[in-house]
Amino acid sequence: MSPDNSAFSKDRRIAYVLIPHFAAAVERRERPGLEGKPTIVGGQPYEGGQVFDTSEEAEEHGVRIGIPLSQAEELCPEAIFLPLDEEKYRQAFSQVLKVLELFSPKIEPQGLGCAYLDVTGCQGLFGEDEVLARKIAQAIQNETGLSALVGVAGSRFTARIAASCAGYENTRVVTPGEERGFLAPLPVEILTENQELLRRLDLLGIERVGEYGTLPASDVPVQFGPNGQMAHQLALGMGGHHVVVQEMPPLLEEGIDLWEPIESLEGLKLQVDGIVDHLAFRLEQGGWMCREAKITLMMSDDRVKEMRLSLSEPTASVSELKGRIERLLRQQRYGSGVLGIRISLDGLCGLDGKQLGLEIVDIHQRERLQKVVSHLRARFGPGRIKRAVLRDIRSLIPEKRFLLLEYGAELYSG
Amino acid sequence: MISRKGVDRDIEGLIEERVGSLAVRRLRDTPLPSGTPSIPTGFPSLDKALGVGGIPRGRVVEIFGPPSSGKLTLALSLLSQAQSSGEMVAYVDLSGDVDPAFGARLGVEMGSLLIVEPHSLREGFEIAATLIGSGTLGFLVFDLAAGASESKGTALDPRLMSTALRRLVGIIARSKSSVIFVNRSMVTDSNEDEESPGGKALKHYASIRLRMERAAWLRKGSDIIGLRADVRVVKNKLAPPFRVAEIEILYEDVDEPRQLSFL
Repeated sequence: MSPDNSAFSKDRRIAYVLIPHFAAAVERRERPGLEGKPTIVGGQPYEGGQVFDTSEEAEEHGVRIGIPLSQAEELCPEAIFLPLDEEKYRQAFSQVLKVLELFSPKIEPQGLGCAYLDVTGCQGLFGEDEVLARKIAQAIQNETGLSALVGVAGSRFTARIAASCAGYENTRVVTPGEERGFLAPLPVEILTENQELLRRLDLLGIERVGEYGTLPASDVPVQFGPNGQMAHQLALGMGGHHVVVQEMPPLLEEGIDLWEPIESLEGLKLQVDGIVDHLAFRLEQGGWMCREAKITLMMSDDRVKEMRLSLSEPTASVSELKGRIERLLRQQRYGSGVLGIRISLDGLCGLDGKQLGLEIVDIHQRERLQKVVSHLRARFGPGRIKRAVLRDIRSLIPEKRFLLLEYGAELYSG
Repeated sequence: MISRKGVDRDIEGLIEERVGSLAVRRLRDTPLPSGTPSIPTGFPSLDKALGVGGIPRGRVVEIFGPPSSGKLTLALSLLSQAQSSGEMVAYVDLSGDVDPAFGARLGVEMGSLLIVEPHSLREGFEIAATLIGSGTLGFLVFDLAAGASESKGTALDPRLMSTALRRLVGIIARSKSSVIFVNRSMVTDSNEDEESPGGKALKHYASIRLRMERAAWLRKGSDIIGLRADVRVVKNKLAPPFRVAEIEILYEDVDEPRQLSFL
């Protein structure tokens, strides 16, 4: 009678890590004053957005993820509304993933705050499942300040349910062979979202997973169809146990803090070039190209200056990155010295489909533009497209400040 | 306590066991390109208010506002930012009285800026369409505010605006260029609403409309060194509208050229 599922559940051990209300937890970590207060992440109610995440207290008032913020305000008027900063949550989650990498190389992130780990064979390193789960929860708490629930079982489904039932020390381990017994008292709704199936089960008076699991496996597909069959297998603790490792683009960020403020552009450029060299090396190692760069300068008067660079084509070229960043730095007004520099590369994509070097593209582009301009000159006559040559920018007389020349005139004269 | 979220994921696991790996794939398994490509404005608050991280590529943006509210100043700052991103840029000047020194003080690299001085509005649109259609231009500012006058043949004829924009929008969408129209605004007598001239075509075709209002002059002693302006996103097809950003634009000190001054 008992299904033979011990074969895989004995040798496979899956851990599920769950940080409930992840975005709200990250916000709370930064503002301890929010502890115990209903918190809603997504923006202000008048902004017309949707609820991105809520705290447990707000959820008790009926606030759900995805409902309009204005509705959330009606449900829970005393809630504190926080602006959405997905970048921050992503960075916090990549910190969590970094901690998880210490325990297993096989990690499957599943949205913010959740991840599956294949911990098969890790017991030799970290101790029994209970010890391992506690170590994972503790490491996340110590490294990131977020409290995680950890479930360990023989299949993905059971591990996930175990994590959400975690009690003492935020962990729950379902030992091999215990799956059916663990799932049996739980409501049948956890097995499926198929309303038709749930209605039929309700009609038959089946409320618990255990009751559904006792139905003969051969009759289930006939009575309940393929959905019912899959739910039946889950009820027997036989959910999938493959952890699909996903290659996540790394977070390429480096920075430097200085003792003495830099007060010259050349000094700043020297430091920035050093950081870009490091980043470009990591970029090349991983086979990535980047499309965006963010430069953050910590000024000596406690201001933080942020600049963003967006490239039309992704690049991995050091000289291009340096050139673009230098140009951006030259355009800024500083007002005080720079005490810290942080550069992160974003918009990463693989190296495949890489185009020719930028210089060549640039020359092509200029040549093409020159052609278009001569075409326009032929069509509309001269004097339409010009370029300015600055002479004396301080002069009070406009004519002395600059000169307007026909665009590309040099080509014709020379 | 138990959420049903993710049950389908476990069912996927079952399917994979039976049929093989990669039988079921989700879009979110592969990192998606992040939204609409855009050129950052250089003002973090404005980037945030725009919702797409900057001025979107392949779209039309309108900046309008009362006189001396900082429209041109913002547009020139955006040109300078686009040059930083390695784009070729152009400025269509209907009035023919652009002051490159002012642009240079806002950081625009004048040597590589195309200044287009058309003789009529129609000509201006045709040159813009040709430049953008060639795929060489990344960013274009079309200044309707300064010199739309009857005598020069550059008046904003609503019918011309409508036909020209219909054509131009298609060309822009196929290119990677961003196009910014700078327009003035006026209060009509009939209703209290603020109107920008040139009919309804530009309002219709613009993906983003920014309304500028000067909040304050920034002074250093008795000299004006810049301005603070409120930018309100009154239309946004790419993100939630009606966000407001406060920006500060400083004119470069004439006495200290930009390249040498740090402190």
